[in-house]
Amino acid sequence: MREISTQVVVIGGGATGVGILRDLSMRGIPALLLEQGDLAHGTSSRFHGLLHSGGRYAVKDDKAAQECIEENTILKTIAAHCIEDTYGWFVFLKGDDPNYLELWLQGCDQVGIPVREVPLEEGFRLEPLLTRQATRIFEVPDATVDGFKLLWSNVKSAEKYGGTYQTYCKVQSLWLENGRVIGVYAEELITGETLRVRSEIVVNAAGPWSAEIAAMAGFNVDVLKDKGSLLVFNQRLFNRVINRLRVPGDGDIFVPHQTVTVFGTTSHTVELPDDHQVDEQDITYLIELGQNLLEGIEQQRIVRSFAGIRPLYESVEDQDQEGRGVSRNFVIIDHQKMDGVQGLVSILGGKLTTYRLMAEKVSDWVAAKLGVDTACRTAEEPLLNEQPAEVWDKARQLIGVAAANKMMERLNEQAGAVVEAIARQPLLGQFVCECEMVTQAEVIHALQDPAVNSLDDLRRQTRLGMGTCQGAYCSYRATPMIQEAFGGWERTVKEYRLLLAERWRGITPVLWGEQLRESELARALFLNVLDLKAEESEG
Amino acid sequence: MWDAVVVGGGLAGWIAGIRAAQRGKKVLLVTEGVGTLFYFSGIFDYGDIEGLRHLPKHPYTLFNSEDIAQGQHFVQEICPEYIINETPQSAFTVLGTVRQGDLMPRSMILPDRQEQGRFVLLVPEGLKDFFPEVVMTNMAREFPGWQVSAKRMRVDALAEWVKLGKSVSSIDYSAIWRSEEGQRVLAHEIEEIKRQYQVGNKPQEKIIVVLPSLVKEYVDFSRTKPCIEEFSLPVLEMSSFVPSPHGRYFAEYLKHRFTDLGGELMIGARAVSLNQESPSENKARTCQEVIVNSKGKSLCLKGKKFILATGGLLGGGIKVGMARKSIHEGVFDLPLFVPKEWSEPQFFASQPFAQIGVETDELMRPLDPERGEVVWDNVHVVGRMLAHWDPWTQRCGGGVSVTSGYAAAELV
Ligand SMILES: Cc1cc2nc3c(=O)[nH]c(=O)nc-3n(C[C@H](O)[C@H](O)[C@H](O)COP(=O)(O)OP(=O)(O)OC[C@H]3O[C@@H](n4cnc5c(N)ncnc54)[C@H](O)[C@@H]3O)c2cc1C
Ligand SMILES: Cc1cc2nc3c(=O)[nH]c(=O)nc-3n(C[C@H](O)[C@H](O)[C@H](O)COP(=O)(O)OP(=O)(O)OC[C@H]3O[C@@H](n4cnc5c(N)ncnc54)[C@H](O)[C@@H]3O)c2cc1C
Repeated sequence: MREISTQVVVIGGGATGVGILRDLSMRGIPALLLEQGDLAHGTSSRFHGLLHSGGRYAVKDDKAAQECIEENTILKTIAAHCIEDTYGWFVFLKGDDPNYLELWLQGCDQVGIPVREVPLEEGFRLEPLLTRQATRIFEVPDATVDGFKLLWSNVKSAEKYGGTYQTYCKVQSLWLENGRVIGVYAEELITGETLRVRSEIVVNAAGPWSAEIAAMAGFNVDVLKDKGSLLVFNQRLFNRVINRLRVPGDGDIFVPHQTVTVFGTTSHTVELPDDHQVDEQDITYLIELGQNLLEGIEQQRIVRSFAGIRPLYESVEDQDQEGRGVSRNFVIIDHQKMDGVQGLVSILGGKLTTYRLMAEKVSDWVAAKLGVDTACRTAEEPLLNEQPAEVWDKARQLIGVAAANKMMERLNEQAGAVVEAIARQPLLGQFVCECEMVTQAEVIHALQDPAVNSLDDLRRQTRLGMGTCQGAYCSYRATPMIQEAFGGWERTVKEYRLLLAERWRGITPVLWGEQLRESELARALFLNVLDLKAEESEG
Repeated sequence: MWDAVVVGGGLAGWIAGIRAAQRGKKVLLVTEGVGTLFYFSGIFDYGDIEGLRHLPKHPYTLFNSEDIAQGQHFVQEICPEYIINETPQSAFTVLGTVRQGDLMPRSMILPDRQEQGRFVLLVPEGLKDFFPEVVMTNMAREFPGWQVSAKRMRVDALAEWVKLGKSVSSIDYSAIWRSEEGQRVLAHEIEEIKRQYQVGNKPQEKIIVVLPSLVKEYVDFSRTKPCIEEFSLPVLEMSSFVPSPHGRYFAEYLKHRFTDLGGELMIGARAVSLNQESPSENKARTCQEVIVNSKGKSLCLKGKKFILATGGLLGGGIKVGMARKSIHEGVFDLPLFVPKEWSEPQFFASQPFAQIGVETDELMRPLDPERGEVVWDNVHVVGRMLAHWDPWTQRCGGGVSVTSGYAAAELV
């Protein structure tokens, strides 16, 4: 058993956890984050990718709306490299409730969400696929956010201030002594070794798993696990976030991301924190709803589907309501007050847009407990520094403008090394992933990071396998690099299988049209061209 | 009026067309694209024929061993480089692992593993989707008694291109190997290998040069220059990644074969429907003509027989609409077998959706699965359009397509 000590243990490498790690580190408080999978293993990679302006909550939940618009403004400055400032539209359709429209405009006004009405002709010109049932369009500062990149920059920034994190390390139990939590026991999943961490405070930021963590100390916290499903289309159907202007409900938001569009969502309460199965009924239901904003939706190609679990806080008063009615605000539970045990705090609820604020509040609490009075600086200090123009120019010259822009966005401060590698050996500029334009040099670079332990980690790091081929071509093209990094043919085959299995889970619910053809080709490639062994079917 | 109109130019369609033309029939082949031929490795897989014939309704149940052997001999007849053997042969995959195959060109067949010798892998500079280090480790593991080394080589014509960081596809390299300059370069490289390894202390060592994709087997003497003369060392071809030069040249070769035999061809033409009502209980079940869209025009093509070779899901013959609300065969609107369960949770498993296709009687005529009656007397369904098989887990893609294509041509 390995044993280490630190001042604060943060459980969970989602947006909330990494935000806390960065905040504590910037205040000079030594902290260690433990994550059972890779970063963003949970909800933070299974969400819609919308940086809310607050418009969605303007009528129902003015507190949430206000937090959103404030954080939206802050993140666009401190995390500009993770955000595409697309803006968003709220589209009012023929027959929708005009009273809601009035309330919405008032709500936005009250919490300070800037709204501009877009003339219809301009709207149809800018978004040609938008339904002609639209009668009014309002623009708000919605944007899209790359969750993985955001998380990554937070831990990188935290590291600069001395923060540490360990992935594939699962907390198994809390270390309790005399009515105090004095640390955690965790298992390092890759080696199987047990790790004991002594700390003064343990922060439970385990998202949908928070109840499981609290239960380790025998406590009950009310997290409602609310599953939402999303569909991924193969292209940018819209260039802005498109919301339907009505009482928030299912299937009313389209979010463009890089080369694809994500559409959703649904809402069902589930039992398990990792119930990521997408039901086929939900898909047909979503497609039907999608018709309202995008009439030709049936002709569009869906590449995959996925689901995430919202960790909603279920306060006592709200308990009898269904998922969407619960406030999206967050709470901090001091288990000393609640259950009489010191040293443990849980943060529950919230959304990705407000991760920084949540982290600030928890860190304030932790700092007060530890008697540290350094103020929070995460709202002012950017996550990254701007890259020098020479690196940009060189990258564009070597691999072309489109690919360079994407790479610089993904790599930012680390782009310099990759650009140099391509300059030295131009063939390293070949693409491993043609959809997302990921070069060999970038893959080699990503594989050097000790946190990248599988082809699937590589996917999250580089977006390889996220495009229309869903990993069929790019996992083949990554062969020499993964073989070099992980060693051995058997391991390589295992990595192919794991990545394709992960992708397959998202594809099977939408297995028709072009994606079905693509999948049939992928099967031919792996089972025939590469001659991998078939698996016995379960049925 | 044609004796036969073949719809779809993939492996099955071409085999049917060539055989029918060879039999002196007046044949028209209409195809939209090249089908999956550009993916074809050059190796025909037949799979475990006897085992598969025990699966209910598998296409092999429609044929006897005589039919299957005839198809194989036909391949050998049109491509004499193909070797028919009692037991399956082996070849290198693009990653240097060993795969089996039932009918393959002489130039791909691996030597005996019990022997000893040396493989020298020729690595053309900048070859796309080819990983020499991985290939060498795999080769060494598969052939423990053999030495494995590599020799990098470059072709002047491509040097500038590669220096800019651009890769070269195996199809482009194959085109170069077919040029005089390419052959000279190869001959020179092989000569150097010979000098390097044979002049030394071990003159007896058996040396085999391994080259990713040489495509020796489809040399069409009547059209392209006699390719690759004999080199000073034996050369072994690997199969390649997609798109594959073997498939590309094979497709071209089949096309020439077909037109040389007097077959007529319409490329870039899509058959869209029948020009008549579906047969009802008492009407004649003979199809008269199909409608084809070509270059913006709509044509009616009359035939005595129609061979449907449109390639199933992958070839485009079967379309599955959003949420699977519509699933249909695109030309004759034939009834399809559609499995109830659609997919398996494991990606690498045999997938139920792969079984989708047209059920037929023994003459490959489409059946109505409910009534069990023949829908059209003069339509034969071949290749991937047939129901109840999975070419990838059963390893019989080429076998079913060749057998059914050949057998259909015999019925014209
Ligand atoms: C379908 C859907 C759409 C959404 N869309 C949006 C949106 O558009 N905009 C927005 O702002 N928000 C959105 N949200 C909400 C947002 O995604 C979440 O609020 C946010 O990601 C939660 O982050 P988190 O860090 O609290 O939880 P998570 O990201 O789930 O992180 C918790 C982490 O804890 C780890 N963990 C659990 N147990 C252990 C253990 N024992 N040991 C170690 N680690 C452990 C997990 O592996 C996980 O990585 C959406 C949510 C869903 C489900
Ligand atoms: C990646 C890959 C690797 C393979 N490797 C091997 C191998 O190693 N060994 C082996 O034995 N086999 C291999 N195969 C080939 C496999 O055997 C074939 O897919 C199978 O034989 C199907 O052939 P087909 O002629 O029925 O269909 P296809 O090859 O799909 O041909 C169908 C044709 O019909 C045309 N078409 C479709 N609709 C219309 C229409 N309405 N009007 C006109 N034309 C139309 C299409 O354009 C196409 O040309 C491989 C296939 C793939 C995809």
